[in-house]
Amino acid sequence: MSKWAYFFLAVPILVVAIFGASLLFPSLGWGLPENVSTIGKSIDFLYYAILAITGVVFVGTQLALCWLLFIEKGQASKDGRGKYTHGNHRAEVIWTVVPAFVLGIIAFAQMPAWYQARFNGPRVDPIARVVARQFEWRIVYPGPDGQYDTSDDIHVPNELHVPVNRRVRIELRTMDVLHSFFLPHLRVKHDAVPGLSVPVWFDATKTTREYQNENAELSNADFRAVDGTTRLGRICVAIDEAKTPLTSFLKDHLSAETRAMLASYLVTWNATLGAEFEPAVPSGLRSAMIGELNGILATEDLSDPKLTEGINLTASTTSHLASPLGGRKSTLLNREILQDAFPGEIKPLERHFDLACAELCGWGHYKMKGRLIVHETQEELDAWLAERHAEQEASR
Amino acid sequence: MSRRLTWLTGLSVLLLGGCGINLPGQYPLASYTRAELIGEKSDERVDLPPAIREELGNLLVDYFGTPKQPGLLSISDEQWQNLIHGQALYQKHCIHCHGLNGGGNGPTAPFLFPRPRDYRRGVFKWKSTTRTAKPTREDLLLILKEGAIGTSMPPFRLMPEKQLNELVDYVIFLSMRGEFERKLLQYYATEGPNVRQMYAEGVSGAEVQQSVAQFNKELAEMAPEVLAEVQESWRQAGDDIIEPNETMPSYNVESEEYEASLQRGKELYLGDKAACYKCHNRDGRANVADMDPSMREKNVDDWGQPNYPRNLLLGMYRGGRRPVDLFRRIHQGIAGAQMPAGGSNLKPREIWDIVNFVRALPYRPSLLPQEKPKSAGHGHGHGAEESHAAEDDAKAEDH
Ligand SMILES: [Cu+2]
Repeated sequence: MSKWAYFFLAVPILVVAIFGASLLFPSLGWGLPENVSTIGKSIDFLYYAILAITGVVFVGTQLALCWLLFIEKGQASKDGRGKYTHGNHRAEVIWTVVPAFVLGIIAFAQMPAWYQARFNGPRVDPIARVVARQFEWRIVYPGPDGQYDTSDDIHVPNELHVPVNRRVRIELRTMDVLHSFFLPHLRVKHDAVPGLSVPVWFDATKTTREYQNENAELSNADFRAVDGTTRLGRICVAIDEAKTPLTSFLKDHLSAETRAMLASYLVTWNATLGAEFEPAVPSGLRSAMIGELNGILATEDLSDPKLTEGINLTASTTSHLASPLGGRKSTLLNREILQDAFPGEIKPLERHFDLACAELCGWGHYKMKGRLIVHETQEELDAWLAERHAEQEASR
Repeated sequence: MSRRLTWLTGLSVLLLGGCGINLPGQYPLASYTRAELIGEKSDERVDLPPAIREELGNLLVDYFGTPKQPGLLSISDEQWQNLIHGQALYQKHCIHCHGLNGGGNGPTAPFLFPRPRDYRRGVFKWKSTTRTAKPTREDLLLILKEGAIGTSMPPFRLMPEKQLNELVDYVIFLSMRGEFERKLLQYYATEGPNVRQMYAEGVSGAEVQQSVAQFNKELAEMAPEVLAEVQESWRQAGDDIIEPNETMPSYNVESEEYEASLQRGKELYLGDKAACYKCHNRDGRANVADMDPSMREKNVDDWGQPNYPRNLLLGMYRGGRRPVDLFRRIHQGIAGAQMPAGGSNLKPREIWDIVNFVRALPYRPSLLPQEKPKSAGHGHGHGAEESHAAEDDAKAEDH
């Protein structure tokens, strides 16, 4: 039977390994997402504390189970008969009192966090009404008159816009079944219950652009098209040929090794008719290119007019050029310029604070995804709302 | 024990492997009844003799390719790339409702009300163009971005613009393919040789074969013209946009002019010129439950699906809530549905009055005589909120 004992032993070992991996390798994305709210810290603390308590108990009971069922059993039943027991009063008292005590501690320890999250919200008007529906979020802003349920309400599907660093309140509703309003980065999760209108408070301590700026580095997946083909080849060739100010700037900043690899790639490219049959980018060149591009994005300033010459900048890049984030050097802005320089070859950055449904509400549940957009100022948010309102009032 | 383990492994492979849709080698050939195809009162399916079926299948592959390799002969490399990308996206996000060839008959479709759009007729409801025209690309993009509220069509607001455009390309492609196929099938249903009948009448085998070969030749000859016609209708869409030639009067909602506009709208609604009340009821709550059963049967759209007048107190407009959307809806009616076009006998100004009135109605139901007091129980709030509750009763799309 010992074979099976090892099999079941694997469960606690695997669980511990997965947890360890999620802590050791954050890039796997198995752990908690970055926290961008004020209450998040206490929630995370509780989360880890409870995980530690239950984790220790889980691993302990699993080990005990294996030992009792499989290893110990082999010893006890040598004479071919089972051993009977009528329980142990003292053991029962211990395993009742200890968990009750631990639960009591958790119950008291969580109260401040719960109070902060659920009750200590400012008594302000809701910034938006969030209506869940299979399978989308319908978000309603009160519009210029500040009143809900009037014809100038602003309707936005799947996008919740809030200002940064302010505790806002939303009104949560559902039009059909139970849904669960979940902002993982803000550690907010609340059920939307049919027939109820639930107040939910939260604040975001980081704007969407700040968040994107910190996560703007390029990865392999940014160069993959929908059909799975790679888009890096054309960029490599353009940089090697260095026909524009930007590409020659990039080429100058590459290491000699990478430039040598680029040159040999160009030979393959020309040999295989170039654009028609894009030859695969060798993995060495691929990782060197992505690594060096990321280095340039993080340290150089591509927004220099001399470099952007000849590039068709999109409207959003131009507006970001006008109000750069944290001075002129911004990874995000650099990335946007690079995207405009190679239109269609680099995927646009889609890192956002998620808005998800945490209730398995039907077959299309996983499609019930939206995003939270955190604006830098109230004015920026108002401008966005005004724009949306104008769009919605279009009479031509 | 080991057998149970195999069983468990098998089950988890099934669960993890998921239910991906495998692309067949070809788009399936559409199957219509005579009623669906040429409006005859007959539920008989239009069956093609194998030889004609094969010819039609070949023509469709020649002109439109296969699900894995969609394409049109006349398009550039870049457009072709877009189609390939569009197909991949369509397969991921749309196919389960709208079906492999855009027939609105994907595996989820039977559970939805209203049914997903069948593109193959080339008829689209929510557009800025005239009733008989095709929608513009912008119309399709808007529906993709905003979804169609009150239906199961979700908004794809989070999808990058480029991908949305690729999806629009593919949807237009599927619609062209469907309409092309439908027109050739219509030609068969009206002009094609009825092989079964010919044999029954004692026509010799050689003659039957000859007439089939002759018909196949005709099909192949007319195909380019049919395709050109369908493509042209899509190309023209941009020329048929309905622009209100009188701009919407802008009223302050607290002004008397606004109230006067609402009153004029109300009179038109209840009067015989616009006659909105005939379908939407005097109280605006065109309610399926209140409807005369004979009316219910008559309310069928071009696709043969139940199609009821909208309860105007819900404030939910499937084709968009902008004033200009409502203007176009009243001006042109709704293609494929019962909503008639009002543009010919209503002046633009009158249409704007109705638009104002309809937009105010969900928040002020008392603008219309509300005969039945709303049943108690919907505790808090009024207006739109109450209407959401009312909508729940009428809605049958939960799944
Ligand atoms: Cu949900």
